[in-house]
Parts: sequence; structure tokens; C-alpha cells
Amino acid sequence: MHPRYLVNDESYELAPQRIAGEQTLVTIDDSDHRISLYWFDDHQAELVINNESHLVFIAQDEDKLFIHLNGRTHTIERLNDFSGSSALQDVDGIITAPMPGAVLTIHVKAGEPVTNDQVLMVIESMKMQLEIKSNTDGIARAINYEVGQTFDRGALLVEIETEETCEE
Amino acid sequence: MNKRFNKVLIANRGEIANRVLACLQKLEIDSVVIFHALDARSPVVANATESAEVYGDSPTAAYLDIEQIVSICKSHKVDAVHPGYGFLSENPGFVTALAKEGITFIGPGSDVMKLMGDKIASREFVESLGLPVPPSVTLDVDDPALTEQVAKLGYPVIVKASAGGGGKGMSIVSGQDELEATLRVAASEAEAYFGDSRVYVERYFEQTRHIEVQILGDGTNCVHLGERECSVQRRFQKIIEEAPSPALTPEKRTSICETAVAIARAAKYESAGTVEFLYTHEGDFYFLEMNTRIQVEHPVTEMIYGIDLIEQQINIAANNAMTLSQGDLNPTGHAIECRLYAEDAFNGYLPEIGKLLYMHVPDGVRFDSGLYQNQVIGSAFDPMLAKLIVHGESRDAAIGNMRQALGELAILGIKTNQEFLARVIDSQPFRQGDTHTGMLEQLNLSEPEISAEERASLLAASYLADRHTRQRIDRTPHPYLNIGDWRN
Repeated sequence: MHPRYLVNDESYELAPQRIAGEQTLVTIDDSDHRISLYWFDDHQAELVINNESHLVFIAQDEDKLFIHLNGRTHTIERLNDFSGSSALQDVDGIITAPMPGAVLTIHVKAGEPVTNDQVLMVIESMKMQLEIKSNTDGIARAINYEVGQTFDRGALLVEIETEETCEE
Repeated sequence: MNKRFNKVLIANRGEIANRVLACLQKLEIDSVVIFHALDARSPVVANATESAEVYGDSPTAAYLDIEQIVSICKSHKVDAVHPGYGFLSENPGFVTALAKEGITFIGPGSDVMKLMGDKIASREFVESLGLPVPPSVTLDVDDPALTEQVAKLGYPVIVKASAGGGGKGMSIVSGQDELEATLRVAASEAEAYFGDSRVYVERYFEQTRHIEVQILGDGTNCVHLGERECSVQRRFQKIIEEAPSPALTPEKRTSICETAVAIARAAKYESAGTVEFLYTHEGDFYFLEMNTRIQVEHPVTEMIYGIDLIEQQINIAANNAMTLSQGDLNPTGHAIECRLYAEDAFNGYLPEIGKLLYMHVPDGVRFDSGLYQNQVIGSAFDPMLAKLIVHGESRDAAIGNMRQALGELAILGIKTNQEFLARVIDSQPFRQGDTHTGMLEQLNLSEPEISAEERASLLAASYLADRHTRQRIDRTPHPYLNIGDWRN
């Protein structure tokens, strides 16, 4: 599923096409845009969209992005259902954390083969335990966290080499 | 040789606590600030010479606890207390309690505070001086003569609580059928809010301006620092103030300012105070009330007169005669203040809560705030976050500066009325100086649309700034970036 954001109570989908250098090609509202963002510090950045430049101030709190653009401040919300449809989790072999938490147990070692839906680790967040499963068949290439380590929502927990990438 | 205080306690929080602290630092006077646990991380707590926590059943109750605050004053050995505005600033009991311990209250005496704090008594006082007050009726709701007398005033009328203030305890009555019920409700609300059920009925003038005059007195001498116009109000609360008023001719200005001085002088007023007037479309003005404290909107006066009003208050309270004379006071240019509230202004001004994640304040403006990074804006206190004040050579120049500042100011993490303020400043009536207390209802502003280009920019910025995306780009192994179509 493509990343979706809520602007003024309406949901919009972005279709990222590819990254070329610092530019990302993305489809918004049925038209393609070349976009890039150059950060001056943690909150100030220059947004370049189709060669037009804007100074923006940005802050993020969980799923909410606060953006000051062209003299106005907007609140944009990332839409994200917990089931693994977020932008990060839709790529085969990229296993990310659906919520912030800590690693409880790990059930796979780097280099081991894994199958789709296999439990890779169990995480804990606010007293809730959740199994982290593979979304593809392949070889576990990297387990990025150890037992007890904490992470934010969206953290890249496990990377799996799929057959497709192995062939390359 | 000027008498001076060694140590002053600030009995307030937020922007006004910062404002008073800045003045104390300028005067090289030691400071003590009180704070409730919710405000423990406020910069004013770190920046004051000393600080003391106050406790209460609610955060507001802590700042209102006279006994506790007086005891802190004693243990920290302060000479004087600056109350700011709100909280205990107009509480004669606080003044008396401090006086008992030999501590100076930076403000007027308790007698004048009591007189002016009672709307019925202060009206009668002003009337006795032969100065204009709005036509009104102060009869009890059960008095048989009430309906007839109110009918004589002419509808609509406004019902006010004698002990009210700050826009609380007022309601407009458009016809006789609503009168009795409104009076009864108003009386019981007044009892609940202010512990004083007295209400009165005043003729309600539509499309009036709210014009107030800044006064400084030392008990003997009294001067004015011109007027402020504060007509742009929502729910009887000011959101934009300016000085001078665009409505007054030089003759009217002299007349209204001299009336204010006459009232303050008759009351032997000591400290900074504000005399509020209602100014009608026809150019008549009537006394509304006198505020015996520093006002929220005092900066617009400071900007055009170049005078520090808090410093004047401190100086007068230390028993120094005022050195200012009316002839020395010459304003230059025009100043405008916008109050930034945490609220959904396009949606019934509903209060908003949130966390201040980031703030960018443009250069060349005065920004009075108590905000700090990661501050949680809850519902415990007043929703006013900050004040943005600009100066210009003319009203048009000040409007231009304000408009630019409202575009450049960025407050991220909590919804504010910033955009609403910009729309008001942009409106034809405001530009023309055609302001009155009902103008916001008339304007009925709605949130401007987002254009397709803006939306694309916002989505692009959201996507690229989103931590999700950044983690992905930073951490995605190269094969995924090279596959051409990222999505597969």
C-alpha cells in the first residue's frame, strides 16, 4: 500500500516511483512531481518541488506532522493501520516495528532461512506483546536489535534477503 | 536618591511572569518566582534568582493561595510582590495580607481596588464626578419597576455581574421576554463565579468600539499614556489591540484621555491602571470600568511611548514620586498586538491542547511569551500562549509589519488562532480601521482553502520529512533503491 496522509480531513495517497540522487519522483493527485528536501537543522528545511523552492518549518509528533509553508501552519496526519500497511512494511524483506517498544525474544539468527509468516521476534510495548513475522521467504540478513533494546515505531527490526534480491 | 526594592516576588506565570522578570533584571533587583509543578520547566523558574513551588487542589488554586504565597514572601524575605494580571492582581485581600507583613504590593491600594472592582460602585463613583456612564438599571429581579425601567433604556440591553470582569458574567438580552430568565441565570452564575450575585442591566450599544486609556499615577500626580483600541473581541475577550485608536480625532482623544485622568485623579490612583470606555458610532463615550492592574495589552502603549510600564509600577510602589509629566509624553507611530491562543478559532474558538514542538519567531517584532520547547499545553490555564507586537510609522505600516510577522511566525505542535488573526488583519473593516466589538461575528471568517499546489507541496514535505520515510531511505539496503520501481 502507498503512503497516505490526511490533509484537511481528506486522505491523499502518494505513489513514490523512484529515487534519483537527492530527488524523489512521486505521483500526487495523478501528476508526477520531482521533490527533495534539504534540511538546515532539525526543523528548518528547503522543499524543492518541480524546481520551485519553499522554506518550510517541520515538526513531527508520532503520526502528526506540523508544517509551516507559505505563511500558514498545517497539521498533516499519516494514515497508518496497525496491520502492517505502512509505507515501510510493504516492502518484502523489510520488517519494521508497528509500535515503539522493546525486544522481548528473538527467534532467528542472521544467515538462517526464513519463510513467510514465520515469527522472527516478539516485542513488548505498553505491556502488550506482539509477534513480529516475516513478510516473505528468504534469508535473514540482519537482526538490528538485541533482546531488551528499545526502538521507535517504524524502526527497521529485521532485514531479509528475498530470492528476487539474491538473484541480482 | 531613588528608593528601591532588593527582592521582588512574581506571583504569576507564563508570559507576564517573564515580562516582569525581564524588568527586574533590567533594574538589577533580585527575583523570586512561584510556580506550580506543571510550570516547573518554565524558563522563568530557571531564570529568576530564586523560585518556590506552590501547591493547590488545582494548578490555578495554587496561584491563588494567598496564605501560601505570603508565607513564601516571608521565608524568601521579599520587599514587594508583582501580581501581573489575572490571579491575585485585583484581590484587595491579598494587598491587605501582604501589608500586614510589611510587604509592598506593586499596584494600587486595596481601597481603590475594591471600589473599581465593584462595577456598580465604580459606575456610581464616576457618575458622581459628573462623567458619562452608560444608561443602566440596577434594580433587583423581583422589583416590579424593573421591566418598565429596562424598557425605558431600550432593547437590546446587556446584563453584567457587578463583580465580573475579563468578559465573564455578561449576556445580551434582545427583548423583554428574555429579561427575567436571563437576570435569574446571570445572578446565580455571578454567585457561582464571583461569590456575589449582584447584577445590573445596561443599555447595549451595537457596533461600539472598546477604547481604553492607560493611566499612571503616584497618588498625587496622574498622567495618561494615550488610548488603546481593543474592539476586536471574541466572546468579550480581546484578540487584537492597537494604539492609537483609528477612530479618534485629536479633540476626542484629548477629551477621552482627560476624562480618564479625572477619574484616576479623583480616586487618588497610585500605579498603572486602565480606564475602559465604550465608544459609540456617534462619537459618544461612556465609562465602562477601571482595571487596577497592568493589562495584557500594555505593550502597544509601551511601543509608541517608549516607556516601560512595569518599571513605572515598580518605581511608584517603592514610594518614588513619578518623574513623568504629561508634556514629556509624546507617542510615535502605531503599534498592534495580536494575542495567540491555543484554540480552533475557525471552529467556535474551541480550546486546543498539545505539545509545543518547535517555534520560530521572526526578527524585528516583540514577542512576549512563556513558551518553551516540548511544553505541554493543557487545559489547566488560560489558553493565551503569547503576544505578538509590532510597531510601524503609521497604522498602514504597522498592519504591513503584523501581516508579515503573522506569516513568518511558526508555532508547531499545537493549533493556534494565528491564521485567524491573519484573516482578521487582512479584512476590509480592519484595514479601514472600521472596527467594533461585533466585527468578528459579522466577518464570520472561515478557514481558507488549500490550493492544489499547496497540497502537493504539503504532501511532498510530509512524505520526505516523515520519520518513516527517512528511516526507510537511510536504512533500506541498496538493492531496493536500485530496482527502478520502488514499489515493485
